[in-house]
Amino acid sequence: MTAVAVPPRAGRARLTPPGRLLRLELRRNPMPWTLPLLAVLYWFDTYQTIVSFPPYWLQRAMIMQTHAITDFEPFVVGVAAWMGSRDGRRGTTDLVGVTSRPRLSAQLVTWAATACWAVLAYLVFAGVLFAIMAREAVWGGPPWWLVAVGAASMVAFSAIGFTAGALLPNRFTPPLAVIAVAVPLLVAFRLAVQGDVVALIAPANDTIGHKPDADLGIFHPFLPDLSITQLIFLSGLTIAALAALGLPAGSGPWRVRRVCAALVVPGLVAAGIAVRLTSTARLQPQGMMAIPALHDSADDRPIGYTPVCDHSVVPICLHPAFRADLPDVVAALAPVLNQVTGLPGAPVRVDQITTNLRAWPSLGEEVSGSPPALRLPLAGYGVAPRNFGSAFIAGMVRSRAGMTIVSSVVGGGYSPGPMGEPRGTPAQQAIAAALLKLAGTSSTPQCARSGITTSCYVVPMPPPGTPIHTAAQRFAALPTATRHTWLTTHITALRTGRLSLNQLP
Amino acid sequence: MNIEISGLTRRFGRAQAVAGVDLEAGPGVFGLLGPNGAGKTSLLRMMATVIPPSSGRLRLLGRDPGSQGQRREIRRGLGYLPQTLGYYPGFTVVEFVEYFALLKEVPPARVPAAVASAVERVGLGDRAKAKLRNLSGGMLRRAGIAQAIVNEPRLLLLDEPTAGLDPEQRVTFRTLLRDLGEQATVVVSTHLVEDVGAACGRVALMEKGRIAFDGTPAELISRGVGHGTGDAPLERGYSAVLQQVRS
Repeated sequence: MTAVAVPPRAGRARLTPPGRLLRLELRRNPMPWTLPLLAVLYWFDTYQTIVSFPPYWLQRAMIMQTHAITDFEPFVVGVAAWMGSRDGRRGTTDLVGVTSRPRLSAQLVTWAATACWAVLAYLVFAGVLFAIMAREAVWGGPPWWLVAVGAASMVAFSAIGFTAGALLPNRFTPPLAVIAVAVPLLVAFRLAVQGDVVALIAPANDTIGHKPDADLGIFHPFLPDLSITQLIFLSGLTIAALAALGLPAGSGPWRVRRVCAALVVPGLVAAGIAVRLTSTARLQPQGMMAIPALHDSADDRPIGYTPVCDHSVVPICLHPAFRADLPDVVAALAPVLNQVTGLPGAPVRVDQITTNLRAWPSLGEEVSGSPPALRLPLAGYGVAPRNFGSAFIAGMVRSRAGMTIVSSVVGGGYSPGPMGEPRGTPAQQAIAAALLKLAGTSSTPQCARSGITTSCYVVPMPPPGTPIHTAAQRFAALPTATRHTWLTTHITALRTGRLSLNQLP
Repeated sequence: MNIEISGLTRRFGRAQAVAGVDLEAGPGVFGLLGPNGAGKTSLLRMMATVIPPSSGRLRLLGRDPGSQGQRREIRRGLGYLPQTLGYYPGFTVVEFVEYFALLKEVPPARVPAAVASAVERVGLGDRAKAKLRNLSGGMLRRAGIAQAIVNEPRLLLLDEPTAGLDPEQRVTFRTLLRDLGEQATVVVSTHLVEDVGAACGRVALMEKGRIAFDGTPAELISRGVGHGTGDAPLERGYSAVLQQVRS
């Protein structure tokens, strides 16, 4: 008995012919051979980037989506184009073309095998990262919409690559197809960073701006609006690309070709509708994109939680996801709060809020309510358990929150943003500068680079030698009790702008 | 008749590859001889439904390949080995043959047996699990023949099937041809006249797109008696017919 005479296993016989073809194609598909290289790239790019961010599901999942899709794209498109061009390169077009099954069906099976491997690899790689995230003290749960978009991207990439290879069966087609897909992805990423909402249709994009904040999806539920349009877009592209496979003569009976021709249009229309929907996207205060035609206002309701607070004179309360940051936040804010505690207008409580990206360049920090409370958008300052320890972050929190706190007490205030300019009367500027200097804030610009983002802050101080500077130095030199007594007595006049520099002690 | 051809032509731009061929063939092995560029491969490709004729009538297995539905029926009963065999290097012999069995809609339950039978018949049973990239040229040719016969075709078209086969394999292959020809119409395009003499019951000789001779190998031999050049009787018949046509 020769090797071929061995009877087939029972399981094989139960498979339908397309299933057996798929099994053959899966076994001989080159995609698995690329997985070790892809795993290395994924490790150094996606994984290493993710672990540098705090262990919050949504933030990490968004970053994973951006990096993973970019990492997978060249492999999936390239292999799919290689497989699409297989019959042309191998000279099997005639052999496959004269079989009774339409050539299109054989091509779809070959594509399906490539797409299966790509989706499986994506899900396994994403699953490994999710398992790692699940082991850490993460807040929330896996955002499955993003996983669905990632998987749909693999299907669309493979369809586009395969069709390109099938229609242009050439050894240069795979690299050209990779470039043709990668360039729009990268351009869309850059445009999204610059605030272009239409660019969000690209599956590697989640929100406008550089990167999602750590509190995304913690105070408010995830908004699936953008994911839905991306899925529509990717589905449309997939349908159009696969239908284009059936257009050339010889791909199948004329009825099949007519159906394919009829499917190209709705596929492209679906993609166009998705782009149109995305152009209406608007940034919600909680940092996610809403698309009016798809938006469910119920998703805007905050998620209820019980804050964790310290028990100092001015209680500081954070979301439990930021529990680990509480001591550092207390340490950062205490020097400022100590300067103003007990004065009219000074906050009697600090509450963490979600970063309001629509208020940019402000992040939404304010002292409001009765009794007054400081609303602190902690994540907007880049605060996260893994990076609070840096002096830069601590200084950022102290300076930006400090300016808000001091302004709420002495009046005047600063223009919004990390490099805000003082806007009060000379007396208000002098007192504010003195208090912030005493609190240990930095009067020289401090900057830190993270990836492609550079963050800066500064507490503006009056130039040396000016009357405001002299008055600020004089006030700061007073004993603490004297300063506090003077402020208690004159704070109302100071806030209303009725004091001049000469009237300061 | 499995092949009914009348006035068949095929043009490629200005070149006329097939210039009015009339042919009928039933079960048996039919040899197609002719010099390079005579139109053998173009005729075979039309019979294999790879390319449509420019004009003329073509019926295969009693059906019209110009009709979509009938073409599919023809293809179910068709086996084709092209002159240049394309293959997937990563596939094993069995996988390659199974792949085409499934594309040819061999009933699923019969596929394993059909694949095993085809591979055994071409003598590749001991290399069934070998990848095609590791096979010699002759073995690849046999794998190509295996995929052509896996659906037990009623019309088998083989374009230079013995190219690359060693003498022993060619002898075995001729036996296979005779076996296949008992049930099916087997058209063998070849330059090797000894294959025709040994395996074919009928032979046609093409020259400049036309059939210059159509008869039995014995008749072709008789045309060369006292004429033609060559070492073997068939070769003398072959060259005699060509000289007559060209003159």
